[in-house]
Order: sequence, then C-alpha cells, then structure tokens
Amino acid sequence: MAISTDFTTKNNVNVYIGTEVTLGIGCVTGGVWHTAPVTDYSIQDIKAPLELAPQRANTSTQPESGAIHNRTQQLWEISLTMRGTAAVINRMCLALFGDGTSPNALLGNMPAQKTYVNGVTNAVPVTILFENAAATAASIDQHYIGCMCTGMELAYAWGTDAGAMSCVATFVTGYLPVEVALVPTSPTDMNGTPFNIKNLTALGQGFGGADLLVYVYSLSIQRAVQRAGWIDTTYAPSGYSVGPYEVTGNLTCKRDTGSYSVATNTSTGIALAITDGTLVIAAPKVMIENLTTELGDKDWKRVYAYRAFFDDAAMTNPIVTITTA
Amino acid sequence: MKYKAKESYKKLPMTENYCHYKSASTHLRLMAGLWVECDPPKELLEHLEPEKKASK
Repeated sequence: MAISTDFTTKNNVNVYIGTEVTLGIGCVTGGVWHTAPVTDYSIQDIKAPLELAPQRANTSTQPESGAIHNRTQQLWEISLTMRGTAAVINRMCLALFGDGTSPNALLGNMPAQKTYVNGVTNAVPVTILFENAAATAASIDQHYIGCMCTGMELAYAWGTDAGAMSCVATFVTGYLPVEVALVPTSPTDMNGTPFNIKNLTALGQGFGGADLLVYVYSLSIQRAVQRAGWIDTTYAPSGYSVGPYEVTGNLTCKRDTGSYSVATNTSTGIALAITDGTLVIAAPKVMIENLTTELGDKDWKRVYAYRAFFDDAAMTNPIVTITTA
Repeated sequence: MKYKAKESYKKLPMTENYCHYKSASTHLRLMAGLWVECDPPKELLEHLEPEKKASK
C-alpha cells in the first residue's frame, strides 16, 4: 500500500447550508440550499468519547477490554464564521430560534418546539455541506446531516476586521459525517454587504437611553442541544432536546457622562439599543453583569458585559429583537 | 394588518403553522391569543381572523 495522493485545502472548499425536510435525512441536491459566506470554519471527523473501565487492583497497565468508544454520546460540532450580512443573520436566527424574516424576535416562551424526533418532518435542522472537503478525493464532498444550531454571536469593533460584523454560528449533530458527492442545484448566496460598526448612527446607541460612543459591540445567543437515545448501529440519535437560551454580550464605549449614567446595580432591566438605521438590535430588559474600566494611553473606556431578559409581564415579550431590513 | 388566531390555527401541525413560514415569534404570539401585525401566507388566511377596521 502506498501513501495516497489525496489532500484537502481550505481554499478549495465552499460551504452550504441546506434546509432539511425530515430530521435524519440530509437535504437533497434539489433542496433549499444557501451558500454561506464563510471567512473561517471548523469541522470534526468521525470519533467518539473513549471510556475506561476501572483498573484491576494490583495491575499497572490497561487492557484493551477495559476501553470502549461510547458512541451513544457522539456529537460533532461545526463552527462557521461568516460575514455578518442580513441574509446570514436571518438564516442563523431561523436555525437558532425559528424566526427567519426580519424582525427576528427571540421571545420569553421560545422555542416553539423543544424536542426534535428522528424521521419526523421539521424544517429546523440543517445539512451543512463542505464542498471538496472529503478526506477521500473520490468522495469529493463532506456533509453533516441533522445539524442543530447551538449558538450565534454577532460582533463588530473599530480596529477589527475593518469594522465588519462577523457572525459565528455553531452547530452539533449526532449523525455520522458523510463523505459523498453532493451538489446543490441552485443555492442562494447569502453574500452581501456586512453590517459595519462605522455605520452606527451618531445617537441612539447604548443602555437605558444614554447615548454612548461605541467602540466594540457583541451579542451572543446560546442554547444547549442534547442528543437522545440511538436508533441503529450507527448510533444516530432518536432525536434532540434543546435547552434554555442565554442572551449575553459586551459593549465597549467611551468613559464619559453618558456611560456614567448607565444603571449597573439596580436589579432593574434597562433597554439596550444598537442601530445603524437598517440593523437594529433591541433588548428591552438587560442588566449589566460586569463593568470594567479600560485604561490606556488613549481615552479611557468602559466595558460592559450584559445579559438580556424578557419582561415578566408576558411570556411573549421579546428578549431581543434583531431587525435586518 | 393585525390578525388573531382562530381555533383551527391552534390545531395546525408544526409543518403548517407560522413556524413553517419562518416566524416562530408570530406563531407563539398567535397561540397566546394576541392580535399580531403580520402578512400571512394565503395558506393560513382561513385560520386567522383579521382585525376589523373601525367604521367612520
């Protein structure tokens, strides 16, 4: 046997997100596909947690029989770092909490569906296709079926990536990665102009109505996704359950009278607003989790870490609303 | 225009309600009995009650 001539490189890979019809059955060639404008990504190849049996007393070595790959726990994580365009944000909101048309609102009583069952029709799980990413050249492509979004982080900053917004989305799947040729027939490109921090309006950014001069902003929406059971010898999951959402973020601004007026210890939710006139992120009830002062040779800055909540008056009140158009 | 869910909407499967049309927030608000500003697809019109405009 000789060394294979196959190799894989990042500059030859396109990434697509396919909307599945049925959990556990990958999006087909003619399905609904979106081309992801990725700037970076990470994947995981086939593996499973290796568990060890108790050591026999008075022995100092480990026998083969004392190890098992626990395939009931196998979960693969895929991370996509994409340009923060309106299409990307809408698509990720759809995968994460079921809203895919602006304004995307994460409500206090979400998700609308808390469990997903293998073989049952549902348009939330996705197939993530890495074109030309197969380890075996003959297989051409690698894809992951039954992927559930576990989180999304939107972030931009002066001095980073030319101010362009990035969207980091993470997914997990309990289904084995598949190496086989798969060509989307007519994918929709989610490319476009990313939102940019330079376009924030002069006024209207900040907490509780205080106008802040923003240097850095981020919003993170995360949730747990757990696999349940298994259905066959591939240990594909019987389904998934999704856990509670956590909405947090950071905002760095100039330390001044405006930022001094932000309530940071009153146990009362204050409104967060970020807007450039098109992208509008609104969280009616946030509290400051941490506040640090960034000293430097330039002007001093305040770094707020915040957490968003919904107004208890109704479960249908939003935690955060992301408007992209 | 604002709409409210009829009883028939509340019985629709997930593959036919507003979640299928990419707006889980609209679905949850309708399920809560709220009047919701939305532009329903024609498939859902029979399951939603439009707000009556006040007569002059």
